[in-house]
Amino acid sequence: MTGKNKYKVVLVGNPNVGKSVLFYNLTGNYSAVSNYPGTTIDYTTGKMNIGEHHEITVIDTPGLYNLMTISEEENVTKHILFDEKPDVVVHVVDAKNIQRMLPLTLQLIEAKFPVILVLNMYDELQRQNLDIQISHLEHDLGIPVVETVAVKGIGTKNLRSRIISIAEKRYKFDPILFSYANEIEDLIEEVSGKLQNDYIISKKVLSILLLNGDKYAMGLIAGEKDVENIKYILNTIDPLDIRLKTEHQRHNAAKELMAEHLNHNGKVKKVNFAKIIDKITMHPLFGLFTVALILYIGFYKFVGQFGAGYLVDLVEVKLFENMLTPFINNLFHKFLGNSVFFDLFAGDYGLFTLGLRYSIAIVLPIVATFFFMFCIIEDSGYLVRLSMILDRIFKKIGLSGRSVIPIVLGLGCGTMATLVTRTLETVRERYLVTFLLALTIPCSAQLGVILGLLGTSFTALATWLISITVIFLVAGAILNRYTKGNPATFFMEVPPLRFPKIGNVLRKTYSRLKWYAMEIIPIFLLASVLIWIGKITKIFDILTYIFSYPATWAGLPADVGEIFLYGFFRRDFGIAGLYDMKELLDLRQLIVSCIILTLFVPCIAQFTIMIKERGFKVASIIFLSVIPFAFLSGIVINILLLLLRFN
Amino acid sequence: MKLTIADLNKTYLVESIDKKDKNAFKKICSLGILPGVEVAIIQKTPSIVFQVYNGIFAIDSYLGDKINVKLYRSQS
Repeated sequence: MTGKNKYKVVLVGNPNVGKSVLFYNLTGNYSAVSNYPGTTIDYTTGKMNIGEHHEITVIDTPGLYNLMTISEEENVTKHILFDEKPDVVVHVVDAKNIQRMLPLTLQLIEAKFPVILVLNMYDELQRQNLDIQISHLEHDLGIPVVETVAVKGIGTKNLRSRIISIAEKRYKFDPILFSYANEIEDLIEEVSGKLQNDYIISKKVLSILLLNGDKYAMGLIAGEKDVENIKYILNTIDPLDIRLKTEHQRHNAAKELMAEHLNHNGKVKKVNFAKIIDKITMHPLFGLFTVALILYIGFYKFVGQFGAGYLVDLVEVKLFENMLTPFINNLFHKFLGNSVFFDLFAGDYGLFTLGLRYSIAIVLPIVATFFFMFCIIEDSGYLVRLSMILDRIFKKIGLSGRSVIPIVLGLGCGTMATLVTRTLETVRERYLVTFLLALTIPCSAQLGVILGLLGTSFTALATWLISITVIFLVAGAILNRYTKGNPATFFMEVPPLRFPKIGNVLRKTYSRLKWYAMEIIPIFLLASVLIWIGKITKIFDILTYIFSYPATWAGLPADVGEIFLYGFFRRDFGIAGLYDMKELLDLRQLIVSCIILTLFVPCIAQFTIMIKERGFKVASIIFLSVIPFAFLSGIVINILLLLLRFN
Repeated sequence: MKLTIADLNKTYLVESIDKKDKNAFKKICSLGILPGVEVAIIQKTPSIVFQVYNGIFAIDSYLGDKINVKLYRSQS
């Protein structure tokens, strides 16, 4: 392994231009990626091995619009660019949107990064009857330009060889030069003349960032001798005005370049099937129908009936109950007899018969079907449309359409979703979504079991759904009313609807499922051990006793208190326990317990991430306020159902 | 006029961007929506959807109010 030349390649670009797929193509390695899947919220590294003499580390980064960053995700990328000293910077753009994205290329060139421009989704550009004269563009920019269709693997080979030639410094850059208006150039010169230290980016771009009021740049020059003089200059100007002017000039430069190199080959066909679907999914009314249709087919039919019904039945009843559980019980009985240690491994709460059975037989099939469906919806470009349709409704509870993504993901796994709240722009929105995820959003395992439990009665399911929706809206409205801060704004680029590629869907489902399995199976096993300890020390009896009170107040049998206790370990663990108990409850009791468990505390994993992302204090406040809220809602709904003579 | 009151299926030129809300201003700039850029209104509810360059954006009325436009072509 010694004597290898080591290089670092950073992939950057706007969100949703296919960086992650390109990353996969280059590294061929999705599984070694230490990333929480979803929107790329943290950077990811992978290795691209070419021959014996090279080792190339590729870094995939969250979306970046401009070096003058606004969001937290953008800052992650900026830090990587400025701190990692990349040997190659690959700027990935959506080819049909090149004119809007090229200014960032110009900015990267101006900063003196060794840039390659990748025109991805080139097929979509051609479908619009457009064409780019690549060799001419390459000549004018003075950097390599490569066309790719990442989802089909087209262009990867060319990109690899370009990366190597730049890493080995064989490529001769002849970067395009362009200047700003005289007054701006004068200011840039004045500031850059005062910069004495060495920086990874050019002094020109550093000066522009300073003039734009960029805080990160300000931090970089803290060690400069002349820092006070620089601050003095900066105080005399309006950074927003400079921002607008510099941005404008870069855009004009991009416009001129593209006027020369982007060719239109006649008109695009006006009406086609995709366009009609496009219109429907964005329509204020029909859009809502589409949501309902997707909920029905995707969640109810596929996740609920197929995943939670058929698959769980297959694995849980046919495999575990009929074959594995009796076998394991017999086996451990032989070795351990009726001792307490028998209960650790087998019996009602054993590691194998409870921990492993719950995670593999009940939870995994449901989560797998959910992630599969989520990946299809994600890759089709529908999520953005959903955000758009729901933006107005979400505004009422202080959120923006952007929050739709973590919330829908929360229907899969609340832990993963809490992590994804990082992509939200305002701190306030992150708090609100974290709270709502902890309180109202059932994870897919919970949802699957709930569909299984209540699915037999439409009224029961509808009662549950309406109750949770009302609680979601009420809780959101209350939070919105009493939380300080500016309301969230909404903007999103709407990608064209695409047919998801089955390979990509399967790969993503697998990677999410793997993350999930690594996350849950240990916790389920730990929970089994804790339950065993709790049982033999009688601590659980006391806690079960305590929880039996609110349970009876909500009209439930006292035994259900135990289920709530399980819910502490994992929400789905609790609900899976309820699945085991369903014969004991009538329909009203089932509805009430499903509602309480949906609202009940987040699982250990989600709570850990809440602490990490929002801090211990906020996480604890959320955790503690959720418990009384859940029981109170259960009690109220039970009374309402009794008044309506529901049974 | 503000983008929020612009008509459906017409093309406008961006004239200016309101600077009062700094964050909104920076956001709009980052998206490449700058004075002189053409925007064609595709849809108005529930969000404003418009074509800019060759891409489609959806924004809410808060941001839409910050973008001042003038009529460029009545048929997009």
